[in-house]
Amino acid sequence: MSLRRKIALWYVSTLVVLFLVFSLSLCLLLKKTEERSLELELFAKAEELEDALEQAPADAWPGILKDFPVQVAQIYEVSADEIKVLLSKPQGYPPLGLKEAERWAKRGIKGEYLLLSESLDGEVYDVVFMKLSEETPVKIVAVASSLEGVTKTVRHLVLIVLMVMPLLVVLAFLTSNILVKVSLTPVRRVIETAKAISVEDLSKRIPEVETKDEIGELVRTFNSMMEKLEESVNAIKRFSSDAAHELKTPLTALKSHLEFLLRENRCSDCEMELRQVLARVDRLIHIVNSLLVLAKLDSMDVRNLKNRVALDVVVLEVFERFQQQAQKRAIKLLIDRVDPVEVIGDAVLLSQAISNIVDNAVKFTPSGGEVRISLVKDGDKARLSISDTGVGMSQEELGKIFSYLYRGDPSRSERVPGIGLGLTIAKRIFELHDASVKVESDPGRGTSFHITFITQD
Amino acid sequence: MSGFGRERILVVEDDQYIADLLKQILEKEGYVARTASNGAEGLFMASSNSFDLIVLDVMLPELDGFSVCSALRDKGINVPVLMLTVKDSVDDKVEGLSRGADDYLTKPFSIEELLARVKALLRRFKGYKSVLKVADLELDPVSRRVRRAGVEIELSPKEFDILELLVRSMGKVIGERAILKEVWGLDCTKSNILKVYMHHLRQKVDRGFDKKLIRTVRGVGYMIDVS
Repeated sequence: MSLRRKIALWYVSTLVVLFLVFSLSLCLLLKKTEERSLELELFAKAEELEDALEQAPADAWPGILKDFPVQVAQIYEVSADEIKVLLSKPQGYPPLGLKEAERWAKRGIKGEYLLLSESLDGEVYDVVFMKLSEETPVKIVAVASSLEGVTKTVRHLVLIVLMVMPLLVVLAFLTSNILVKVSLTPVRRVIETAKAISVEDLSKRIPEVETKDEIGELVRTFNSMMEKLEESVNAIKRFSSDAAHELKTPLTALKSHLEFLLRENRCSDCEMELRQVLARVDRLIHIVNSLLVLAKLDSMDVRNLKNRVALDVVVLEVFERFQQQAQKRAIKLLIDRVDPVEVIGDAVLLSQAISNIVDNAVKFTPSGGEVRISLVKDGDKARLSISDTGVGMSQEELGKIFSYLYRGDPSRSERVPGIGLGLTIAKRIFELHDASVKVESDPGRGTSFHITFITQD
Repeated sequence: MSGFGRERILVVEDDQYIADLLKQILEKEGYVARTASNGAEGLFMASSNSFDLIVLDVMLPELDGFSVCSALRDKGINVPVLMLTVKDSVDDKVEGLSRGADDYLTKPFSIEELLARVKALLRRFKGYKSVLKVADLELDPVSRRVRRAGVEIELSPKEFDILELLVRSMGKVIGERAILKEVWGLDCTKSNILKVYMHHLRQKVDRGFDKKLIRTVRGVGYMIDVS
């Protein structure tokens, strides 16, 4: 569920609960007030009737009672052993409360009233009793009014509340949806910007909003976070290029100087040692280059690869570079077929990747063996194959060759220089170029790498 | 020993150790070498003296190698420039070459390779500066551009070298061995690399034209045929 829905739901349910509580209180209050005003009216009527009856002779009472504007009025006569209804309006109406009238006859004082609610035939009445005279037989007057009116009013109100309710829910849902949508628009922008940001382009920022609310703060926080991220990524990139300079400059000096000494034959008695040192320096250079390529690959984006690369030329250059090395180890380095192929990518990286695989093939092929290279175009694909007649690998080893710093069986890799980064780097570079790598190997008979590129026509 | 008749090379490199070493190496090879330790000094020396070649580092204080190179070209000084850099990205190479550098070498390099490039650059710029023409094929040894019937043909550096060699010895057959030695410095005939290159070169130069310029002389070598 989206945040928008959640907020709207909370908003609507809170509103409904509040509305219910409010309506209930309103009904109760209305009921109380109505009852109270009914009682007061009844008291006033009772007083009025009492006055009228007192001033008139007893035979005029039925007339007074009949004309008196009240729903129910009755006069009881209470003697020592019985109580009877003297007069009743309306005629023949059932007595409103004989027991209470009897009790009031004994305890009551003239001029005081007794108020109670009586239920009669399912209808509730407010009844007021009063004493008309003290002498026996005591006469009690009862005035009553039905509560029906009050109940009706309250019932109306409840009906209105129930009718308004669905309308309120729909309205509340709609308004809250709109309000939340409007107030969440900046959050949408944050999301869109965050999606557009990648390591290659950290310069994007969300347009600042002037508001001092949480959204404004979110935008400012996000932007300042991006600022820091951009700085540190730039620092890493700078570090890579600084490190390249700082490491390669002394290595250049070392290598050149050693080669110069050897070339000039300056130290004939320690030539062997110098050559060994030079071999170590070359290895160190290889390691530094590998690490720098790895660091570069980590921060690289496929979208930056947009140059057209003549893959056949790259393959031929790699092939040339390994001629001497292969000759020295008495290995035949052969090229079967090289079709002109263009791919999109980085020529230096591709050259490095192919070199790493050829290097591996040459290193692990015993003297007298063969390494064959071919690049065959087939429709919109091109297959680069590098096959050797080397030591080969078991299935188990095949699964590991592309993992970081893996160097194969220790018994034979002891004699082979390297640091186990070559194939890892090669695979990453091929992956970056959308090329798939397949390896086939037969222990003791040789290994074949097949790399399939998508060509560019 | 006077410097007369020897080729003069300017080394612009901020690392003193490397600069001195390069000077020694180049002088041992018989060149006259001078050093400059920053871009501004390098530009000044290159503009006020006549050099046959400049070895130019990219990362230099004050004025970087790219800027020195384009400043030289702006002044109309067309001395060959060999760029040295620690960065081995295509963009850097493209930048260097577009600013007017003639070749590009990544540090750390082997001195064999450095000397080979220096030699090749000097040879390229000595004498043979005029555009070579065979039939409708034009070949410019300085800008290393090739056109056939007015349309530019893109060649890899090795393809260009082979074609230049063939054009210069127009009408004569050049043996496979000689081409391998001249273009690659290789002294072996077992390799089939030349066949692959010749195949590519033919595709680029002769494809779509009735007149085939490159001819194979079976068992001997290749030649440019203008008959």
